[in-house]
Amino acid sequence: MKVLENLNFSKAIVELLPKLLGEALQIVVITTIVGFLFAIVFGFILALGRVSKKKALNHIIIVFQEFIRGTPLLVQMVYIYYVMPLFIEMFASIIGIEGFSVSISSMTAGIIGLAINYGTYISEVIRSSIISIDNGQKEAALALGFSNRQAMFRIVIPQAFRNSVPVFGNYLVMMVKDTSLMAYITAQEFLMVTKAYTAQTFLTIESYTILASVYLIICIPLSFVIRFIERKLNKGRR
Amino acid sequence: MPLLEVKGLQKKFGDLEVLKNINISIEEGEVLVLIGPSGSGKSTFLRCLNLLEVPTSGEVIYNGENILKHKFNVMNYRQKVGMCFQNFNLFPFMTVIDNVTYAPIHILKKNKEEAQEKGMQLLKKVGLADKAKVYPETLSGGQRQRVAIARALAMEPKIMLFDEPTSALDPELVGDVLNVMRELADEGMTMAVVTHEMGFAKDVADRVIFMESGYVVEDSSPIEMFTNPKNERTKEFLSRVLDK
Repeated sequence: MKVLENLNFSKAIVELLPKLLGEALQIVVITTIVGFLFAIVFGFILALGRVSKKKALNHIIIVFQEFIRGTPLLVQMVYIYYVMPLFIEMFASIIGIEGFSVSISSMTAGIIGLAINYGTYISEVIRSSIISIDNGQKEAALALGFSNRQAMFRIVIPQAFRNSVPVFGNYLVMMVKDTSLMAYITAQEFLMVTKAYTAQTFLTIESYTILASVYLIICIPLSFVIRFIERKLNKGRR
Repeated sequence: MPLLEVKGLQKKFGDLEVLKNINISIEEGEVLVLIGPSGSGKSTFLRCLNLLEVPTSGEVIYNGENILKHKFNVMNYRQKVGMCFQNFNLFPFMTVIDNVTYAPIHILKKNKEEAQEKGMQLLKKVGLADKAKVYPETLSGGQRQRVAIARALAMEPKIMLFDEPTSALDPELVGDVLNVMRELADEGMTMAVVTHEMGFAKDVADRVIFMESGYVVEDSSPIEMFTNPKNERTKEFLSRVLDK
């Protein structure tokens, strides 16, 4: 059992864990929080566009959604990180600005990618929640003298939002894990840091086990928090 | 001048003509009860009165103004027309008192204390002052409908529309709702009520209208309607519902 004797968890914990819980954790947490907030806002905008009666807008959004759902998140991040700056430079030179160079930080690219990708999925959740709210709610608001827009934003959407929260929670946990994709665009998040450490020390089993545990330690309490919020919001629900 | 005057009202859903040339006027303080078989257009007619359905043609005159004319301020008009629905449609994420005060605070821009005070008065009136702080989910159907009535009254409407307010209720809960409506009628509220409660129609209505297939078949006083209906169809319908 040579392999077992060679395991050196204490060394890996002492050396790797501080790295993970330092800057890497910051990157993961900030990316998730900012990415998720933007995803919800973006998802709302898409959902509102989809439930509006404007046919052209509906179609544009559907095409966009298919586009996002039909390509992997990893590819989207790579595209945003490596390709978008080139497009912007190309565009700049077309309109006559020469020598214009753009670069985008890996974290920003990650946040944009996550926000767009998750926003697209979340928009469908929100849309179906909006549709599932009984039309009587809107009619009651209209009958009281609210405008269409007020009925939507004051009565229908708050209820749709509540119904969406459980699903939001799932997406939030998923997003924490998907920040690992940013390793591919050089962000110094958990996976990237672990990979680098393994390359130096060859403590492969130890390092990746620690990495997996760190994700668990973040995600399991997060699920509990989400369930708690869900219960709070359920108050007064039919 | 009648409070509300409906002239030549027609409503089509696609090719289906649900209301055909309806002419009805409602005087201030009058209680109008609409009866008739389901699918006769009663509810659609009521919903046309506050433009939840937009009539295909015809006129609805309120205060000398046709509410169907271009640029008519519909929101303003709806504030003066209270409505109660078959399924109550209370806002489930608000407490009972918030349901009642929400529109006065946000539309009439009343301050919170004033709206609360008025809201509590109305809840007392419908016998639910003790339920002010609970959510609608904990209430029975009859209680929910009474809250819905209080919510509509909080806007101080000139007329109240009731769209089968007791149809979704267990039989033993119907009485409480009808009593509240009776009280309202006694206070002189103008009301248009679609209902299958013939007892209520008999006792409370000033006028009863029998509708069928989108037409007003008979329009008379309750005594006339229930003791001496003129139209064959009215007789047939009444004999069927009154035998039950």
